[in-house]
Amino acid sequence: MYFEDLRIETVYDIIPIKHLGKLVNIINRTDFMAEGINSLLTPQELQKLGRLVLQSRYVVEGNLAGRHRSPNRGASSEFADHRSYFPGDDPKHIDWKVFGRTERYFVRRYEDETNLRVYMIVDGSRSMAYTSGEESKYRYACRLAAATGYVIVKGRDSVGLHLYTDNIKAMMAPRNSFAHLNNMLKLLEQHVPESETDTAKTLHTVAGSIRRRALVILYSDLLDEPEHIVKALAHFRKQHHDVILFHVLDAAELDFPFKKGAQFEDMETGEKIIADPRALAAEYRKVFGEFLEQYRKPCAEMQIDYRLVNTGQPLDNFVRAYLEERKRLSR
Amino acid sequence: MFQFLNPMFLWAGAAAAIPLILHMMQRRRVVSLPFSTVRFLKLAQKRSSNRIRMENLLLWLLRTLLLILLALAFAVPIMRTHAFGRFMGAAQRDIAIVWDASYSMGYESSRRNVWQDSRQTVLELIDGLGPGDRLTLFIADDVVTPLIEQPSGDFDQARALVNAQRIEPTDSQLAPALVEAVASLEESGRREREIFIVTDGQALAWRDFQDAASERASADVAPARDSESVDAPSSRRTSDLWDPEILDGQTQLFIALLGAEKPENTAPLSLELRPSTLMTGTSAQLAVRIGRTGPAQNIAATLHLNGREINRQSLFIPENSIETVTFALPPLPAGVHEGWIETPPDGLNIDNRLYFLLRVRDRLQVAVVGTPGDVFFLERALNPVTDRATIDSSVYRPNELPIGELSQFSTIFLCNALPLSGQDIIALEEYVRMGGLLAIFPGDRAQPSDYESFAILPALPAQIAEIPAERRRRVLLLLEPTDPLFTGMQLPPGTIPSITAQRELRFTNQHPEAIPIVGASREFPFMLARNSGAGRVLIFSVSADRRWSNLPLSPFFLPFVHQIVRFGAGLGEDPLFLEPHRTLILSDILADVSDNADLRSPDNNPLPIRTVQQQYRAVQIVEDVMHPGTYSLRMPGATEFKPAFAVNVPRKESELTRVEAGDIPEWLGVETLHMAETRDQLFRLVEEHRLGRPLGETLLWLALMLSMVELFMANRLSRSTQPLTDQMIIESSGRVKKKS
Repeated sequence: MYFEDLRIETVYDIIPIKHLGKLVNIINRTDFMAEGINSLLTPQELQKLGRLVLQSRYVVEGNLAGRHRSPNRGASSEFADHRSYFPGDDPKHIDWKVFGRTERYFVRRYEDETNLRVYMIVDGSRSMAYTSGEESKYRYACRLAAATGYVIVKGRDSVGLHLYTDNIKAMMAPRNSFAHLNNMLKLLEQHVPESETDTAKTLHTVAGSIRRRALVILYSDLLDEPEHIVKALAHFRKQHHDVILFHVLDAAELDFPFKKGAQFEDMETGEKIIADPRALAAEYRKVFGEFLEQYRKPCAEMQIDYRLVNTGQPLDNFVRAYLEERKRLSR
Repeated sequence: MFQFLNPMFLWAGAAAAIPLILHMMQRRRVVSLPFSTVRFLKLAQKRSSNRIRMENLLLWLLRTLLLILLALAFAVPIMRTHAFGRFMGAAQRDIAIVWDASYSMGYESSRRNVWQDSRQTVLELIDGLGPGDRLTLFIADDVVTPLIEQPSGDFDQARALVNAQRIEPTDSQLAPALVEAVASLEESGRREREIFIVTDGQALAWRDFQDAASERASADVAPARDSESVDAPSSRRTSDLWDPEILDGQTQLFIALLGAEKPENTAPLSLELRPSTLMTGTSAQLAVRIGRTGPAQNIAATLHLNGREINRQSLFIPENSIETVTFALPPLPAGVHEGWIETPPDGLNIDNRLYFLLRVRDRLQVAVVGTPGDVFFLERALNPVTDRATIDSSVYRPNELPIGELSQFSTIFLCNALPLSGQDIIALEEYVRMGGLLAIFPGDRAQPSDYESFAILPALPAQIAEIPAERRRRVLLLLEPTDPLFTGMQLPPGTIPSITAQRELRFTNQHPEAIPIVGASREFPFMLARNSGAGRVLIFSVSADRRWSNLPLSPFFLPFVHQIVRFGAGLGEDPLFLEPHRTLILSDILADVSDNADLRSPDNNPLPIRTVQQQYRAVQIVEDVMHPGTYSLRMPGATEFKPAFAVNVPRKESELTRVEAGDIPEWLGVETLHMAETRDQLFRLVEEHRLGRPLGETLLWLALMLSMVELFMANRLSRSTQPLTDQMIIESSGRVKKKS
């Protein structure tokens, strides 16, 4: 058990006196985290996320040993293949059973397991500030990032951050520490959605900067040109990155439930349009459905994990369902 | 084709603009709403703009049409058309019938009987009413008789009343009856309203409308003068009787002029007795005015007296004119003689006879009040030495006036009789009011102040003035030669009335009704007259003896005094005939009549006499004196009936000149009315009008259906199509699957 996993309320019940010194450190850490993960996720949500893991669906290249498959051969218990013995190889790896059958020396090789490096790319444009309820898309994306980041770090994987609007506003390299995660989340919290968005350009930039196979998670409403974004996503896939696309949308954007005529103002461009929602709703839904389809279908073809995130649904439920499904599919 | 029962609701049609106004207001009060992106809205708008425009237009049309339909429905339109009306039934209606029952409706020609025709018309109008319909019925004669005053659905009773109705021997005025008819339909609400005037088309009945139209026209030309005349206490204006404003636009007016196209009628209209007082054994003349409606014609008029034809006159009457024919009356014995003038039978027989009574007197009773010296010349003048005396004068001293017997005198002369006691003065004043003639000669006994006790004098004397010698001779002029006093007076040939007076009564404070009749000038009258009640008072400026003037010796004194007596006899004379009375004050025309007297109508029906109190006096009245002819009376204790008075139908109704139908709309001030000249034509117009029914209910149904369509459309438009989240399968993990 890691102390970091414990909630501050419960820690007094389970920590023996002898560990009080460590408890002080935990308290200090949680204090430190008060502005980051604890402000984005409630203790109940953290508790639900406690036993979840984010499993990479593909081979990734990490620095440390971990639970994720690596393209390299290593010392895990998972048998990979045999190769001929060369002088210098450790004789203990010789497979004597094969020698018995073939009278030739073969060395047993095992798959290497490495840790995961996750790059979270969060859209901070002005359109992400939209909300029809209490929580904006950006806030929901931040909370989602916090949840996934928490799961990643807890799984001893590294997580990094790219915050962008029409260009990259902030970037943090992947690291495996809660402090690092917290710094990232604080950065996200401090950001106020602004400016227009250029997701494609950002994705290309990020794709160009990641050398080793990693997991890329995009949190965005994707209110941009789908063709360009799809191309940028293909860029990741070409470099063998595992990509998760969280398409964060408000319920009102999906269902367009407005009743009264109004002048709708574009939050990014400031463009205004007078419309009668009741008359337009059906057509809007059709158009928006087509828009979603422009992402869903290519992503399916490119084996990108496309997920539509409705800000109306409880975050913990979504993360839990998603991670469990992903774990199931990764086996 | 269309008519609205509640046209005020047409104003509600302006509500049709409400959808447009709301739309405009909605566009103006648009709320700004931040949204993540409008690119999808723009795209959706671009794709569906044509559809939205069409749907909006359709909705606007539906809503506008709905409001118009509602306004129309509440305005209750009625479509009247031959094409569809028969299939649409009829609305409930209230009708008012004004039925002319004047005697001109009794006109008959070879082809038709106007009264029967009108009765049949009224019955058919009642028969034409359906369940739920109601009617009122008014008889228009000289008064309005409401047979059914409030709208009633009892048609059997209405038929019975119509069948029982008889022609009234009166004239008719339609205006008051029409006013009553309009008022009776005031509470009809949303029912259809129809007024029918069933008349013969005689112009007389429409005179009130004609006068009202003239007054309206003059008021339009000179409104200022009109307003002055309103303030003036003048007689009643005809326009007060008929105001077109009372007839609202929803009430349909049907007029049936059922009389003959060219009616012809000849009738004796009036007669004049010359002289007005008939004395025993003297001849007289009866001048009869005979009127004719229709082309010129030679007719023979006959005079009947006491049941025998005694004279016949032929005369030519030009087209639509009046001629006078004179009948010589033979000497008649004293008493009352009944007679009539008769014209030949024609289309309207009720007015062919003009009944009258002639009262022939044996002597005229005259009272002369004064001392023997004062009355000497007057008494001689009243009783000249002649073979046949017609005046029976009685002389009384001033303090012996027989105040209880004054009514027997046709004239009372006061010769220097003042001052009189107050009781005598009151009796004399009552005598004058009841039709007596009082002639007052001044004298030296009376001071000017003694005359002030009389309230009925033409003027009060100011002084007794001595006349200078150079002005004593005066020529007397007839200042009012047309006064009835002078009718038939003949002065000796070559005489110029003049007197020489030494003293005279000077008058001041002439009463406004005083008439200077004889005098040198109006400033110095010789004789003043004033009518009071049914009688008259004459006052002279000089005495009846020679002390003041030479009047008693002048050659015109005797004829003048006799003329006064004859005039006095005619003053209280009963009229030759009466017009029909629903209630007649019998004591005004017959003295000493009592409740016990037996009065019989011309058809020998008894008419009860009743005593009623009227203005502090008891009077005898008799009702239903309507039938033309001679009414007879038997006084209590008498054995025989004697003619009491004669009654004739009002003669203005005899003029049957037909009204110009084209003038009636203008006189009534009504733009649309339905005019028929035959029964068939009337019912054709009625049928045309009644075809069709109020479309209010139909329109309300239509509006209901339209509102359902609108509701359906608006619902369909506003119905939220399935939300996108329902159109797709979005798993809790965010995986999106398309629904198959």
